[in-house]
Amino acid sequence: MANEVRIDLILIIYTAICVMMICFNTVFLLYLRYRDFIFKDKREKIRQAIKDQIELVSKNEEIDKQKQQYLYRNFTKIRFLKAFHEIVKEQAAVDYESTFTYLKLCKPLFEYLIIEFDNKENSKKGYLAFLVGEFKLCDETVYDFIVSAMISYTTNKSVYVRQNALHALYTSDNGEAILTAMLRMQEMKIKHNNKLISDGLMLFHGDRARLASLLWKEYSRFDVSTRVAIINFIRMSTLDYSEKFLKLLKDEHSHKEIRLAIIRYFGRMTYAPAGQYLVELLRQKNAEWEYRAIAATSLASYKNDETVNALKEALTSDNWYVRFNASESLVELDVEYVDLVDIYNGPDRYAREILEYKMETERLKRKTRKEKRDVY
Amino acid sequence: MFIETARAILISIGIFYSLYLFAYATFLLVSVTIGASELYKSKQLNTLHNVISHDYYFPVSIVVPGYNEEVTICDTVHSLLNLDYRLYEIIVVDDGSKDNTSKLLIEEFKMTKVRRKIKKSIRCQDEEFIYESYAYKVPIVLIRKKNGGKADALNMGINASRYPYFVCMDADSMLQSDALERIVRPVLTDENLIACGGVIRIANGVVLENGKVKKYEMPDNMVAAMQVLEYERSFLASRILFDMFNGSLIISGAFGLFKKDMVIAVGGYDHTTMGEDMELVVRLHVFCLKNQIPYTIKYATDAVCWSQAPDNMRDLRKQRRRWHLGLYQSLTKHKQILFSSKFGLVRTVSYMYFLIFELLSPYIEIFGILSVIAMFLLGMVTTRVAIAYTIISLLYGAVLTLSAFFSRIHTQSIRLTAKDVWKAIGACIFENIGFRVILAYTRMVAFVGYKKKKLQWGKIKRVKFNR
Repeated sequence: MANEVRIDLILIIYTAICVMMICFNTVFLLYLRYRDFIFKDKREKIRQAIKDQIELVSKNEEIDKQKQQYLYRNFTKIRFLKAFHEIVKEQAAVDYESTFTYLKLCKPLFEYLIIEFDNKENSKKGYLAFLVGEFKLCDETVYDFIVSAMISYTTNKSVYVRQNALHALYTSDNGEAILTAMLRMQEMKIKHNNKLISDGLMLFHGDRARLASLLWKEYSRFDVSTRVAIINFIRMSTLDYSEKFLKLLKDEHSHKEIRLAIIRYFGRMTYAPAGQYLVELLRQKNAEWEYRAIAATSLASYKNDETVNALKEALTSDNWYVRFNASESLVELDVEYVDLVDIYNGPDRYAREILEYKMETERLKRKTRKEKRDVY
Repeated sequence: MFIETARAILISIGIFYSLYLFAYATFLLVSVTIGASELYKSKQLNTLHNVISHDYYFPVSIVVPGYNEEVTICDTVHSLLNLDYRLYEIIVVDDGSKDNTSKLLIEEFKMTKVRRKIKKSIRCQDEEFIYESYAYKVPIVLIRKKNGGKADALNMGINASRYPYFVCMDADSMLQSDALERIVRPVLTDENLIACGGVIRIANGVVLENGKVKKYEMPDNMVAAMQVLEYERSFLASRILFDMFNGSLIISGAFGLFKKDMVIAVGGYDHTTMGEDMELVVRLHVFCLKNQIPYTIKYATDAVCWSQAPDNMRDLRKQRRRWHLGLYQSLTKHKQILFSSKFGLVRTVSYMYFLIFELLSPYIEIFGILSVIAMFLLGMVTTRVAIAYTIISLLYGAVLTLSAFFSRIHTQSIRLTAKDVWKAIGACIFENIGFRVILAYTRMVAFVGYKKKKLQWGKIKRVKFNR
């Protein structure tokens, strides 16, 4: 049992390490509380400094250089920065305009921080980008120091830094900066989720139509995923790209995801020639089921006999999703019972069942809505 | 001659047991340390706003399978209606309950019977009736089907789900209001993500209000308190470490997110195993690695699901017996992992961990203890060494558990009262003195009579949630 003793020793060492871990946690926790306690006074000082500066701004007076120097000296400390963030948020709730005017005057502080954080860990850069977005510090030119820093952050390996930097850019009305960032990400082959991009673009504070046209000009330089994001952004912004998109949709060499995104676009933006094409697509038995299923959904925006007939035919499709979406669209189009009687009395059980179910749920939804209205 | 041989065998067992203890202790220490440091890093990221905070993610179907869940099912659905998430649907699958599970749901949520046919992408038992409600912020669907087991109920839920991602959860669990958003977030940061597990925490002793923790304290019940420590330790010890190399083999059935088309591609949950949650994850690994599909299986360390733990040894032993059988079935069904290098770290670390330190551990531990006792009786070990050995082993176990527990508490900014700290210390000692041995024995004899009950729902006594 010679090795038993050694195992005992190892277990003792391990136990000691665990005890040290507990001690570390306890001491660290106490230290944090102590630090918070000590920081209380400093925090008050920061609050007063910021408050005074904002007050000066509200009176159209020059801000106090000494107080600004004080902030400047401490700005690189994360704890200080967090306190600054919280206090500014509090002040913005009281006097929004003066607070943001003051923040514009603080731009040199953030420029200094960008340089200081250059070699620091990504979490700090992420926080800095977050603050730039919160405080709307991005200017209208691509050459602005903060804007160009945010553009360079969009190629950072941390998804959080990229996302916060993009958010910061969206808060400006600088479409060129967003385009530059997206092209840079493309060049560097940075994969950023296309949903984050398309939903993010919707947060753009400037002219969306102009941003869309800037992106569209460079459309061919982007990969499929970003192209889909651009199309989705245009769809959600309800901008008219019908003609251009229909051309892309009809081109069978276009990527499937792009064509599907365009079919969804035509569900939101009605365009008669597109409606005809969607009907053709739905009737194409050899087309891939995804095209047919999404076309069936988009056709809910095109009420005419041709659409209704195509959707009724689609109810007998082999594919469950095509049938399901077609029934949903027929319900949405509010097609009269007499126009559907051939389905209800027809031989296709699947078509009948799915339509009955959708009609039933629609009645249920309407009843619920009515009940809610009656209550209020 | 016989005594000599027995001595030689005992010495061999002793050496093997010592080595086993050494390996296990080292593994636990390393993984708890790494886990704690990862949690700390993630807390830092959160405080510095390094998170994907999005107004609109994507729609998710929540599948809640249940069997005789009349005590908790309405609370569970109410908790799901409190989620801070925009677009989702709730699908409750009543697997032929003998109690009033369906009736209570229909009444509570004003549900209406619909003539819906479910497309069966995965095989499952037929539905008996379907009710739906649109009276709340999201649709609620109740599917009552013929009894077929939990896996079968989950498959029915997947078949009925409308959205590309689904969450599975237990009918006796409650999601924290931000849990759905947090479990979905990783999908936006990793396009290869096919499954994501949430954190399961013990609800006993916790008061939740509108999906938020109103009061947290260690449960008074010792069995539940010991499980709190056990869950926290295992979360730090294996989940976070395995997550670092995409090697998680378990996503708890109590709360997990899955990409639907991938689950359908592998055939859904397996009806024939008791540990259907682990088996599915192992199968997803095998499927993706064999077909060279890039994939990620992750843990969302901040997506919390509060689950009721058994508060008596009888129910707990039943639960652990099922888990152990499920583990055995999952590992033996996919034993190919052990013999093929293409499985990389999933084989060398994850599979080996579950094989040696989980599946075989009760046998090794019980035989180890017995051999030490035999050695002591044969005078091969002095009383002093035997006592020292036992005390140090127990002390190490208790201190390690405590350090894992406090690390978790510390990184979650939870404040414990002095009473809770004492409860935790007491539970730690009890856990290492008797609890572990009882559970090791339970797992060791898990196979006795398992064929008779292998496809039944594991039932434990339910109580109402503190809401």
